[in-house]
Amino acid sequence: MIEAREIVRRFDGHAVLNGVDFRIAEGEAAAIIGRSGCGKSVLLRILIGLLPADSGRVVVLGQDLGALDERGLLEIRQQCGMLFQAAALFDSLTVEENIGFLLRRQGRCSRAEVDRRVAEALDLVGLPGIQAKKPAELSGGMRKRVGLARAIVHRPRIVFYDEPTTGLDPVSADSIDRLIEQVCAKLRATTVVVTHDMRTVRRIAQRVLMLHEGRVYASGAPREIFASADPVVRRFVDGVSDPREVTL
Amino acid sequence: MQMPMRQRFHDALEALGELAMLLAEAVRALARGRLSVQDLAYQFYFLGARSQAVVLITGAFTGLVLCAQTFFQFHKVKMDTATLAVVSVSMSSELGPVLTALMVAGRVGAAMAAELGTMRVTEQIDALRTLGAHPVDYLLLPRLAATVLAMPLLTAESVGIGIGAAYALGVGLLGIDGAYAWANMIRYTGLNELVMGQIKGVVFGLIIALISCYKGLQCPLGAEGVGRATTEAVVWSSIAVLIGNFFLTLLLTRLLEGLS
Repeated sequence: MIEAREIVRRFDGHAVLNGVDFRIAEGEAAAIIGRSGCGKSVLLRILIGLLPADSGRVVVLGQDLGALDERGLLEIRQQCGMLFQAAALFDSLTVEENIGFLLRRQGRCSRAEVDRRVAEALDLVGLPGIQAKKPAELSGGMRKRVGLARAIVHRPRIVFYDEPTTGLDPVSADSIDRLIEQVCAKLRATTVVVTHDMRTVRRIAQRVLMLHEGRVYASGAPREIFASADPVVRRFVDGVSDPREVTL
Repeated sequence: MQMPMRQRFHDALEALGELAMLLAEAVRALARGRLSVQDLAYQFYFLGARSQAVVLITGAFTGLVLCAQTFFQFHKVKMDTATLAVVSVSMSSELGPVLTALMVAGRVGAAMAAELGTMRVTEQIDALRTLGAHPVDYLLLPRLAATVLAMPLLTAESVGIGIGAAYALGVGLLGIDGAYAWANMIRYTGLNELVMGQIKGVVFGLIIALISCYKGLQCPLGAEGVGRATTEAVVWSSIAVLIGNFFLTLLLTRLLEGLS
């Protein structure tokens, strides 16, 4: 379903990703974890074709992304959904227009069908009846929910989440985790979550990939990662900094 | 000192190449019928209807100043009735299109760059791409088409109001003989001047929309990036309009000779 082989991506000569290698099977829920700046979001963007890899191969839904131009990538992306860190809702459109954007552009559904599916998606994320509101009228948590509704309304085969709980209070973060869990169960879509929130990992992931120094440093089921004796993994899951890094 | 100059030259060439590729992509998208009429209508309204005040004021006062200055000089040699002819020719082929373009670059070009820049910074352009929409189809093409269609109309409006204002000032206040002034104006303003103004309007519209959208789509991340993209969009568009005007004048004067 998703295959990354020896992915390298450099910024200003610095290799943020330096040989990332993994495979995510159909229907699997994978969490990509790692410290801030380790390249998690860059990797996610490469997986959905928003950024090209400098070298290596990414195969998504049987297609080599490196062999496709932007229009070819658009076709692949229509089978995927993505929830952005800050939701990235279109300011100038209403909630209804945001969520129904792809369905309308595809032109395969009637207006009534689009309206029905938008209402259904809003029900699923617990925000019924806010179709006419503009993104500026919504709180951060509501924006994330609307972003989630937009990501899943077309029933994608893969859903990518970029730090879905970042910037939310614990209660809102928990409700987003719960929603992602429900979406996974309902759509049976392959799920890739980039996060450094361990609660999200425990709740959603079937497999965890930890990025460190540009590579997949550790990989396994959540319980294996949480029980790891490796000091780098241990420090990350426990949220403890390396004393050598702290200088006053 | 040598390196930065070389680097700047390299960057300028790269930007020109990217602009050409963006234009080619827009033309391809247009040929494939990807222009949404609804988006075009909205952009046309935003650009045309909401630029009225600025275009009318610019056109009127340019015509007035040109009329007054010309009259003060011509009056000395008793050529008062040639005043409107000078105003008409200058407004139709040079001042009308150039000043309208500069005002549109300031008002609309800045708005385009700021809007697209903000969309880029807030990941809305990435979101658009994940939703299967090409930024060229959805963002660039409607703006480009609307600007290219609206600019000749705005130019004609600016020229018309400028000449009208000059006529009112010359005949009403400065005492120029209306009938002679009108006859001279018709006599010396050829079809080539009017056509030149319209062609310039189309080309300037293309320049403004292309540069402004390019700066917005390439906007560096952060609030500072949006500010810089907006400023650069206005500055680059204005400079490109002024340089383009020179070459267009040379080229079109030759090409349109037969029309006069």
